[in-house]
Amino acid sequence: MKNIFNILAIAAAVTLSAGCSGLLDVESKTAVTSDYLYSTPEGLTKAIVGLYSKDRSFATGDAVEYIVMNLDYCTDLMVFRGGTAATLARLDNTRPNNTNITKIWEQNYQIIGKANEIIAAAENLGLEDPTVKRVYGEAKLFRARAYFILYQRFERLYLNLEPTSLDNAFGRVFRPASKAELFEVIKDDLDDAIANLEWEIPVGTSGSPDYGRFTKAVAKHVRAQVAMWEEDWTTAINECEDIFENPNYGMLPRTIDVFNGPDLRNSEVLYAYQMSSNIGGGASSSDGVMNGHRVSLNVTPNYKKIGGMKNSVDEGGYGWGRVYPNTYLLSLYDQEKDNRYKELFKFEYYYNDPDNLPAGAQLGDPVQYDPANAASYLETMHPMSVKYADFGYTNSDNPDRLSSFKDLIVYRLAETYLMCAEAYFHRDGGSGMAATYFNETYARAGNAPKSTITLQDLLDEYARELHFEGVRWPLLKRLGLLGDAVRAHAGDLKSEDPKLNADYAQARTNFRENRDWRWPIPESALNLMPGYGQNEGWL
Amino acid sequence: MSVVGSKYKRFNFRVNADYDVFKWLTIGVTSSLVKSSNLAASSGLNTHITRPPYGSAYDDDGNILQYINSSGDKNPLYDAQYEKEQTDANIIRLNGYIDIHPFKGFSYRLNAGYYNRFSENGAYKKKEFTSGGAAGSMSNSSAYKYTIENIFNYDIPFRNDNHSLVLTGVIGYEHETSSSLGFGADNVPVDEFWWHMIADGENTSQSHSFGEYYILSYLLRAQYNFKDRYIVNAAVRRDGSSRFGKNNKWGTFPSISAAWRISQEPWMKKATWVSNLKLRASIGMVGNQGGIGNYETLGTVTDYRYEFGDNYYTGYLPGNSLPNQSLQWESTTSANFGVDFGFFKNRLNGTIEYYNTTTNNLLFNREINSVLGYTRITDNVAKTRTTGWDISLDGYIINKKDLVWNIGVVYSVFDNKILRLSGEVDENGNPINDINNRWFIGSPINVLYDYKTDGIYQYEDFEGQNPDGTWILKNTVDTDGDGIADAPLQRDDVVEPGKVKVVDKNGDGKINGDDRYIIRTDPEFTASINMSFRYKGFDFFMDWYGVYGAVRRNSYLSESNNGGSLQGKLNGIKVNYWTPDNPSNEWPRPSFNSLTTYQNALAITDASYIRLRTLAIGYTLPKKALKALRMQNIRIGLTATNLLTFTKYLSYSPEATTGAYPEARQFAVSLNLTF
Repeated sequence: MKNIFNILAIAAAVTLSAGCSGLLDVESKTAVTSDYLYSTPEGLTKAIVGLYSKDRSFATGDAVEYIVMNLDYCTDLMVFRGGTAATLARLDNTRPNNTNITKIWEQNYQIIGKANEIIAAAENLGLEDPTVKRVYGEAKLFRARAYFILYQRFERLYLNLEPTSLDNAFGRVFRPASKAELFEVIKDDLDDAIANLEWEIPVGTSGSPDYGRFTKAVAKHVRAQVAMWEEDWTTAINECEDIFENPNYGMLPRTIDVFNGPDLRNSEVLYAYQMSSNIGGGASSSDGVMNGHRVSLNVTPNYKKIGGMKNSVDEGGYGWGRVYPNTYLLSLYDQEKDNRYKELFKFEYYYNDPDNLPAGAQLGDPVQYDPANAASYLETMHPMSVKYADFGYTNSDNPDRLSSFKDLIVYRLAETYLMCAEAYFHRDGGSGMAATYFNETYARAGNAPKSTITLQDLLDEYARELHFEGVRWPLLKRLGLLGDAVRAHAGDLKSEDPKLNADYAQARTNFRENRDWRWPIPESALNLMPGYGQNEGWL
Repeated sequence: MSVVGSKYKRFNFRVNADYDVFKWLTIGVTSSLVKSSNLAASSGLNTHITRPPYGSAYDDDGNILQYINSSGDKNPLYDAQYEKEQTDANIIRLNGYIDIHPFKGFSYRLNAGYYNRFSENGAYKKKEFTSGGAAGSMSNSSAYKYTIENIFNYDIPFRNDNHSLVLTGVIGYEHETSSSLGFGADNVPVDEFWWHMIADGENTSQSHSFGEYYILSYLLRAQYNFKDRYIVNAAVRRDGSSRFGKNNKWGTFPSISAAWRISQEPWMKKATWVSNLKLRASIGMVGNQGGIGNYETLGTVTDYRYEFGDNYYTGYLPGNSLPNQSLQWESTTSANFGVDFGFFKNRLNGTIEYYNTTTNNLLFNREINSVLGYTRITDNVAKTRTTGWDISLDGYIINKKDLVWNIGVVYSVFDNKILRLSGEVDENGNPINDINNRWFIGSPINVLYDYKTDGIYQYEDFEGQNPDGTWILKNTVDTDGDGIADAPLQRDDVVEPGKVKVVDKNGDGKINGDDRYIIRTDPEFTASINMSFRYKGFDFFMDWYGVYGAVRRNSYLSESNNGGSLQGKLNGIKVNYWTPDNPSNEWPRPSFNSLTTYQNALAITDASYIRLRTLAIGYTLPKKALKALRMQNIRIGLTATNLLTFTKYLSYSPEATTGAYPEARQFAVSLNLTF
């Protein structure tokens, strides 16, 4: 009874207040609004964290987009078995509705769109505030990188520098921008980034550096890359040499030192995606199980399929066996002198499962190639790149984990040196500073220093040092060599690697000279911009 | 077939009480408690049905294997042992009313409702779970809803009994809040107690959400009735919702209806064969706010987390949806016309109804070009129309004491159309379709937009091969209009014998997005027929249901994860695929590497079906026997549901979405006793 009267009392009270329609003005209690983000310096620091996270999302989970762009798909250095974005490695079924191409397009434009808002908000607040100044520099660098990456892959871009609102979202006419217009914007943004970013990595909440944040060096490195595309060799040289002169950066004794361990925090790394199993470490949690990225799975063979082997941190953890160095890349090393041949690749896999050892084999023996098992060779025991593999760095508690939390490289100083060497080569010829900078990586690996270099030397050294780091495809395209390189060396034929059971070189014959220098504009984007037109060579 | 680990328990409790306190006052309560516990299956139905047939779930000693073969295909039976997910829920409903009727014709009723749903979800994977375990999560969520209605009713007392007029006023209030709290952990030290030990592990995720909305509504209604012959209702309601933009929170929705019971007219008295004849018509508007979230108009942001080095940060950015402050009520205007009839003492009766429903200001997620940094906006400018006929007939063919035979038929046909989308026009002044959402002006709302296939490429379609092995298509395209084919059809993908042929819709000699067709998916009509038959103590009932003209994309014929991709990796449906020795023109050449291009379009198939939904037989004991047993009634019955389905659609169900459990086939035996 009492309950009923309580309900009655509430009912009466509510009925009275129902007349007041202020009741309908509800504010969200768990999510702030964009007004908050863009009206204070503190809000802007939150927004820029969002951009870093968006940028990294290419490399989380299956990390397909990171793998496609960084693991040298459709170049002369990689042999591909299957699985991850297969058509972009084989060029067999690529169409403008390709989901990975669409994601790369959309995600970069997302970054541009949010950067536009942050840049406008920062200009509103004034750059005198050091916090605003830094965020402004970071946002400018994000926007420049996104346009630059999009340009390299798609060329035909829509230029959009204003924040999107209800007032300007509709009724637009979409026309592609010219290369000159695009590069003007990219260079302006980078110059602003250089002017507003500091050399030092900012110190974070716990007093240790905020590894993974942009610095002046990252901006200068990207500015040099852009100059290379414009054949503006002097600007490239100046930007690179500024970085060389800064004491915060320096080459490590060996290439492998960059990649040993879970974290890419050393003087050779300019920008890397920060990954860890902590909240904020790019991992996703499903029912409490943390999942990192699957780049390591792609490069590590599925050796556990071999009788007598099981997943182990000594062998690289869990493997799917999809993306490997090809015979052409491995042929570029001086196997005796060049320490990178042995240190950047793993050639042997060792029996480690006492329960299923084949007859005659001992624990610790290397697995021998058996022609009868040629069909599984590529998947289970092909040589692998160790740059991304997880040798107990983050999976020692669980070698069966289907992911890794190792940081992922984006830019490092070795590329800056080779880029600088190439700029000197084009401007002043193959001796002098071109050779000096070339030797930074070449001689570091144990080779005898060269006093004069050729373009072929540069191309080979780029491959030896920076394979699987996203350098190859843009480099070949920039130098006009992509088609020839793919036709000559993409994948591996059985005649080149007799251990294979078949040819794995579809890209060589499928590469269409009038088309495959660029990706198609995604169908879903074209659907929304009638009259914009598809890229050359794509239907 | 049963899927390991899936179990559902439910307990219902209900109490209703009415109490006449005074002559003029009635109070009452209805209350119910539902308690349920749902143990989810560890892997979906698809994992079970797509396991390759050459694997084995058990080793020679009968132990469950982790993988069923050396390709690493998971054994769903294995992981089921190490995984558990359970959701317990309580739903409490309390509805109280007070009815006051102080003088003749007037009443005031207060309805107060309280609804509370509380649920707790726990999920856990043990250490042995493939690819990672010793981890779990828990979440609580609760929703509270309060509703209050004040209903004023006045039945105006006319002296003349032929007239009746009832006036009604309603003031309504609705408030719902919902919140949830979740927590996940790994490295849980003890597996034995499933998720109950997760507080001892390392935190891997945490979440909280909160949302609320208010709705206020006012209604005025008048119901007029003359001699039960002419009936007119008119109403207007005004609704306010917290979800809409500041200046658009309120909407006004009038409606009116009229009915004429012709059979009650004095001049119809002679036509004794007409037992009932009624014409009715109505037109009315209702408001809808279901299409949007609680805070859609505010422009809330999404959280993004990042750990720079060892320093943790929470960042925020606006989401992919551009906020729209001007959202308002979506309104649906329906016009209905119907005839109800009964002839020959209702031995034949039925209803014919036509409806025409127009939805204005449709709340929909409209695509925006992603180059603007947003991909969609919830907008309020579209318009759709649905028209349809519903016809039902029911008749007694034989109606005798010992023999009754009844047949009923229901037939429905409907058509819908998009009349307006964003309102934007292209350069030529034509309205712009929303292609990515597959919405086209003038087409039905539910369509597919895909290519039409034209068989399979055969060797004869090619000139031959290049030295590098690539295939050269024969010329089939006439580029200069001289009637002679001078160029091959161009495609972005690699074309070889065994690939799917696609129709070049616009005839431009190349296959691209412009060659897609709009394909309606809704059925052309649905119909059901039921028949009941009784002879003495025996009774028999069956109900057939049919859907004609529905079209669906069958993912069991096109998606690799569902075994549909002809890659030979998972168990799939057997189709007549192309091989060099079997130049099939139906399905493409199997390809281990990937799904063949345009096989998706091949998988769009007719999903018409006819189903025997219910079949029941029973026997009722004769009166004589009952007397001896001192019983009023005894009936023994057998009921079967979903017994038979006839369809060409290649799946376990032409209706269920991929991976969902099929409609259960049930058999029930019943014994009814009346003392």
